[in-house]
Amino acid sequence: MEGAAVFRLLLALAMAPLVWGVGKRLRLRRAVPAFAAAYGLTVAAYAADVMDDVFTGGFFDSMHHVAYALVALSVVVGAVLARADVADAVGPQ
Amino acid sequence: MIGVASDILALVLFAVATVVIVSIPSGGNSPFSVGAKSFLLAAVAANTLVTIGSALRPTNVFPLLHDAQGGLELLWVPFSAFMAYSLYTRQQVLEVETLRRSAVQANEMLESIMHTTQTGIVVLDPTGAITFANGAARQLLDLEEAAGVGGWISISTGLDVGMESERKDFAALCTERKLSNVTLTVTWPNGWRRRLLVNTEPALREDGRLVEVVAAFVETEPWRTAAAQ
Repeated sequence: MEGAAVFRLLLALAMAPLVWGVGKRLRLRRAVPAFAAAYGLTVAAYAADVMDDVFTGGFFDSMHHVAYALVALSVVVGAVLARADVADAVGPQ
Repeated sequence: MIGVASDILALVLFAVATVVIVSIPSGGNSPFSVGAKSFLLAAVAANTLVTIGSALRPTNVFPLLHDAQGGLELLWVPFSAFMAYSLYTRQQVLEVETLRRSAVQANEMLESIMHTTQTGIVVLDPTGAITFANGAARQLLDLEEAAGVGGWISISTGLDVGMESERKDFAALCTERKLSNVTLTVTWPNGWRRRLLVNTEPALREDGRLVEVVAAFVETEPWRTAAAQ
């Protein structure tokens, strides 16, 4: 389980250049920061999971769950902003 | 306690996100493609399953879901990356399409200007062959388009085109330098001739080689026969 959590964290970090490179070229100016935040919080959730395997006490487990709730919040914000960006790009129908 | 509250909040938020994502316009000229939308929905679905598995962990209901949690959590990252890449590809396609549309519009405008002007305009390849002629040029030089050839030919066989005091064809205009106010005499086989005032603009490659020449001309003297001259 520990190995899987570490592998997941490393894989997510390895994809950071790709996410950054593509994200900064997207024209969805308002949505991209929100989706980037969702990605960053996902990495934080993975990191908290790794820490939870190392330290007992339940603090990092709680952080893992909180980070996931924040990921969900970022996705909602990102989706709303993406909707607004698309409406701006398409223009009045 | 914090964990359970967070899971319930996450589930509600993921449900809201699903509704918002579905309502994002896609297709047509929207930068948010159907593919990007699907990947985002798949990513949200994976995370929702993770959260459900996490919330049900104390009850030991659906233990399989909890066992699969690690793999499901990992799916979020590649799905998000695919979404971003799909968005980027769609954006590139839309930009190319916009450029193509403006190029077509600019070309159509330029053609309409060229066909309405009284100045004769021809485009010559480096050998002096006419590759384009506007309406005024067709009238002044008595030209018609060669069917199926894709170029222009003179219908007056033996048409003699010469610079003032020297007999050359259109190739004389094909130089790497601009020509200004050059007098060109066009003689038809039956002796009719026209005297034209020509200006040229060469188009060069980066290495300086001639690609084509745009020649614009106006008639300096009215149409006359050889006898009259």
